[in-house]
Amino acid sequence: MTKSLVKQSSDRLLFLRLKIKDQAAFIQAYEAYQADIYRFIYFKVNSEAEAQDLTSTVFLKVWSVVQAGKLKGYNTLKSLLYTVARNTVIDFYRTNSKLNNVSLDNEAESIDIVDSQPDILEMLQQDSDLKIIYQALAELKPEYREVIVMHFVNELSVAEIAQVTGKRPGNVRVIIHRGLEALRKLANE
Amino acid sequence: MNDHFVSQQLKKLRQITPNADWVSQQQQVIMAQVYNGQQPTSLAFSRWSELWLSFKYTFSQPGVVVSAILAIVVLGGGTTSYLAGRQAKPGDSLYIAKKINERAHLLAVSFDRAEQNKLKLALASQRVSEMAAVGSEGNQQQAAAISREFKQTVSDVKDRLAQAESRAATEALVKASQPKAVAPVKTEETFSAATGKDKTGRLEISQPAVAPVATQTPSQILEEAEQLFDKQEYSAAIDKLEAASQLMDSAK
Repeated sequence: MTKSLVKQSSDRLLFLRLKIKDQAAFIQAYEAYQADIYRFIYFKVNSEAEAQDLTSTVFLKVWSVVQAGKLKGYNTLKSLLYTVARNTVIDFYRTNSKLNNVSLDNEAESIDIVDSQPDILEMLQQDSDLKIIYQALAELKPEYREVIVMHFVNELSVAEIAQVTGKRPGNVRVIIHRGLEALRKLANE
Repeated sequence: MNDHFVSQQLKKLRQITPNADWVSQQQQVIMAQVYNGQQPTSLAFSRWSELWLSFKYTFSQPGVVVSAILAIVVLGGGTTSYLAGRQAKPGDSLYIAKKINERAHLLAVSFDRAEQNKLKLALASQRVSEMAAVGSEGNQQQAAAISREFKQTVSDVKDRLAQAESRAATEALVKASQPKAVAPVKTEETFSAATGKDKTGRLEISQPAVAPVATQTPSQILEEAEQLFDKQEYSAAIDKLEAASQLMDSAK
């Protein structure tokens, strides 16, 4: 609880520093969140290379937002980073759908384990339960998967997810509950 | 697998992180973009801006702001109104604030009767000072109100003193009625030469000094204070109130 409060407070401070276009604060934000944003994107795009490129794009976009002083629409640092990340992935699929005639609904509908990073493969080989969950997560509806990853993997609160997704906290709770239930069913199959 | 197990497994997926080489390369790219060929912001400036923002953030928290306002109102407001109202007399706008402040002081020592009595006498002295000021202005209404308060305050203290005396007398009676423990009879005979000499060997002719006994009780002194107040001998009345207070203090 205290740890989370300290984190919240330091995030708030970083966000305030970004409002005054503090460059060092942006570098700190990058260091603190690059892994979380990468993971969030990775579960959406199912590719290490794409996740890396998109993560870079996200941070450069965030810097341009900071420089333009357009932070008014965002309440927290997390809501800024995740919202930009979400929109970047949507743009990515939109562009790809135009090029490859792929439906937007197909957002990483399944994650191919063979294409995963070597260290992820190693981790999954060592833990059979985790491998089952990983595979089940890959089969989950994108809407559920996004919220499950944000809440259980990246440890965002319901309120934070609500800010990012633009949904009401009650709806987010329902999605978390249903997503977890669906994931459990898939894992037990 | 239950929900708890599934959520525990999901937490393990935090181990998925980007490649370390890519992270460091990317950081260089990001820094190049951010600083755009400029020198990074000096650390000192960064520290000051962080300190200032930290202060701003702390005082932007609703909880902190409410607490700060309450503290200012209670301490600052209380002190200001007390200082401003100290000279207030009945009918003045700040007189109510003054009374509230006095009540607050009395409540603060509500568990210590002796302290409360002393405080009440101090307040009675304050009323005497007010009376002296009002007397010179000739405001009859204010004078009547102050006089009423003075008498009420002194009367309260007298009542409490009477109660305390009565309690002490009852306790003494109870003690006296209890059978006394018989002192063991000394079988050993001793002889002494009552020379009346003190330790230095000086012959004591006079009787040993006896501690002076208070001739008046605090209640009697308070009655005198009331009489002096009625006679408009305010300075003497305050002296009597102080004397009563000191006597009560020494009797503790």
